Amino acid sequence: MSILSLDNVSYFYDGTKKNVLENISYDFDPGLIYAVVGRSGAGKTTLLSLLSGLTNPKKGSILWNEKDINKLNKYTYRSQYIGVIFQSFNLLPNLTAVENVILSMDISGKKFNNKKQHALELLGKVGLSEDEAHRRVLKLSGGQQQRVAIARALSYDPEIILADEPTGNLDLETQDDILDIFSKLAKEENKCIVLVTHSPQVSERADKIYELIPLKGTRPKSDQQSNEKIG
Amino acid sequence: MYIVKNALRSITRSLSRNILICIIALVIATSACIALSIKQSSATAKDNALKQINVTGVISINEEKLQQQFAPSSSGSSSTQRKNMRTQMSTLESGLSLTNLQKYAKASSVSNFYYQISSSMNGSGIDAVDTNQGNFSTSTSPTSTSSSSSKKSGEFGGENGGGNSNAPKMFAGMGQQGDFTVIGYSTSKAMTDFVSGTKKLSSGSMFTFDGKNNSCIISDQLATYNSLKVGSTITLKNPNKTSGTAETYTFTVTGIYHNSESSTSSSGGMSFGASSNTANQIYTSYTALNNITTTSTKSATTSKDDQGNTTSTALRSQVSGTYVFGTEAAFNTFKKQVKTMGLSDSYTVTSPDITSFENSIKPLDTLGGYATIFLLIVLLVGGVLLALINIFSIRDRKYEVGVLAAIGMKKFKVASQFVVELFIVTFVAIIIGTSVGAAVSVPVTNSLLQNQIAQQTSTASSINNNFGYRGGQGGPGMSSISQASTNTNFVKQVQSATDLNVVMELVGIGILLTLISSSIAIIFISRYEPLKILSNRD
Repeated sequence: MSILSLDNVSYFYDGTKKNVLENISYDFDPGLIYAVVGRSGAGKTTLLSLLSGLTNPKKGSILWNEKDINKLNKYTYRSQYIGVIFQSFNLLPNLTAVENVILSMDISGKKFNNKKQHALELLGKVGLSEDEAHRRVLKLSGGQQQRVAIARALSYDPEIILADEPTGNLDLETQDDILDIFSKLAKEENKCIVLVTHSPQVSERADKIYELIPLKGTRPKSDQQSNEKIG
Repeated sequence: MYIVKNALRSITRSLSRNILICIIALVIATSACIALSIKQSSATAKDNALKQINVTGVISINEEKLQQQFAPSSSGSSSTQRKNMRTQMSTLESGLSLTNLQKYAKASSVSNFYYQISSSMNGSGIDAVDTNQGNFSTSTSPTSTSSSSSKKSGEFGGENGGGNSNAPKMFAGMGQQGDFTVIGYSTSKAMTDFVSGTKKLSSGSMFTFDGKNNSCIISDQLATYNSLKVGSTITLKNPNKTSGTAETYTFTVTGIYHNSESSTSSSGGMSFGASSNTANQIYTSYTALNNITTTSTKSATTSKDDQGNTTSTALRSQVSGTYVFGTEAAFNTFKKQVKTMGLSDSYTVTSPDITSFENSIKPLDTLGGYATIFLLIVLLVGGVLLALINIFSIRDRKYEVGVLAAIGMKKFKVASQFVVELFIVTFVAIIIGTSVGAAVSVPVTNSLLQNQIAQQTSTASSINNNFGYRGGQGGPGMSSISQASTNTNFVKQVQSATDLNVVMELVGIGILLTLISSSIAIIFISRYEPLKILSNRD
């Protein structure tokens, strides 16, 4: 049984007539790593925002454990069931790394014995020293911020991890470390990992690859640009 | 609650914005505290003053109505008019006989009633103190007599002045004005100046109220001037008996009093003759003076002058009663009760205490009014400023809102966090603002109050200067109005201005301001689309 699936989903951005995604049906199972690949503008990030419940499909539905996520509380869904690693990290710059992680744990509403220790352990796992963990996010490098974003997504132990170019800012060595972590989560903890990427190194570690193909037809240039910015 | 924790952290992490909000809120809080304190002190002063004053009331002829009735514009020669007015006056005066006054004293609202009789007499062998003339004039001096007799009705007005003076009104035009004012009291309570301590017995003892031996007390000035001592006797005569054997009455001085207030009424142009000098007031019992006037009336002869006015040689006297009330409300009830008991519209019920109280509170009241306007302006301007700052800060914070929404924080909680932040900042400002406001509100209120008093006093005195003549001419009622404002003991100081009420009101203002300014944040957050977080990276 799929934990997450797209059922014949179509999507277009408001103000445009052209579909970005058309009749997509994908299934995501626990214990596997999925790679969603495609050229820029193919709708990779759009797909991720649909899966994370930030927007609703124009047609079709997204099912979580066979329930339409549209009928679930989106905030509970986002704060407990899925962990999202955004391409732009979306960390709070005024908070330290560890505070960002703890905040997500707080928001999930789940019980933890020692939030701070748990957060520090996670940050250590993704390769951040304790000193770095106590620095404001603003003072961390892009690679370090990406690790914080990963730690944050893992912090409240969600069943599904959605990641948008999770290794984009990392050197090869760290990229391998992170991918190892994802593998471990999938194999040992039966998590469902969805990686949106255009990196072949990442996609070759995946158990299954979905390729998005940009829809045919010429789109106005401005639309394409905005789509690129999003994707 | 992690919301509070986040809010606190958010405040400390973006100090500059919060300091700005805090400063504006501080200015609002301080100004509001001062404004509210002024309002509060005005209310408190009113309450306290009302508790302290002994509400008394008097029934008198409605001067205003009489003035209108005999306004100069109405037809008829001035002499006929004056004659008519006199007739009317005497009719009305007889309506204020002791019997009638005592009838109204039975009204349920009256807690006590006392009365007094006053008469004007000349001295025989003693001289009146007359500081108005710059020297001492003797009672027999022809200038003094002629000057007083030449004056028309308003000349006794000076006696009513000064709020504290309980000298009765003398309605004139009916006889010669003597140099001494003799007042007979029904009870010691009626002697309000002695009750309040303005006048004090400096030697001897109080006269007896049984009226035996015509005992009296005199002022220390009069005693010194005439070398009188306790036990001396003084002889007074009827000023109306100008021919034949003088009609004299002898009093024994049992005590000498000292008047701690200035012996003359202070307003210029109001005092005429020696009788207006309070040093020339002789106090005795109602019974004694009543016996004298009764005797005088019995032996009086009447004559008609060339204008057809009837004049009597009888000693003129005036009875007045004072009603004592427990509260201001009782006084107001009394006003209604006397109407149903049959008091006509030609009479008016007034309370000198309440009038003087209302005058004394006027500057504070005015200040309170200004404070309210000031408060509204401060709240309006401050509220707009806070709202603007919040609009700008929320634009800065939309990224934060997006992140929080994207990681699953409910909009309600995001909004709560923002509201809590504003609450904390605003309340820190209110606490500081209240302390500062409380510290400065008393001196600020007092100095503003001084300005108000100075302003009101100068207005009053210019009214007096410009209309003083009219006041003198117009009769006792008129002059007492203009005099009241110059002699009013204004509430000059407030002790404490900021009290719990003010603090509670400030907390209310704080909540209001926070809600107004955070409502913008709430609207923004509730309309925020989390998807924007993916397209807006700034």
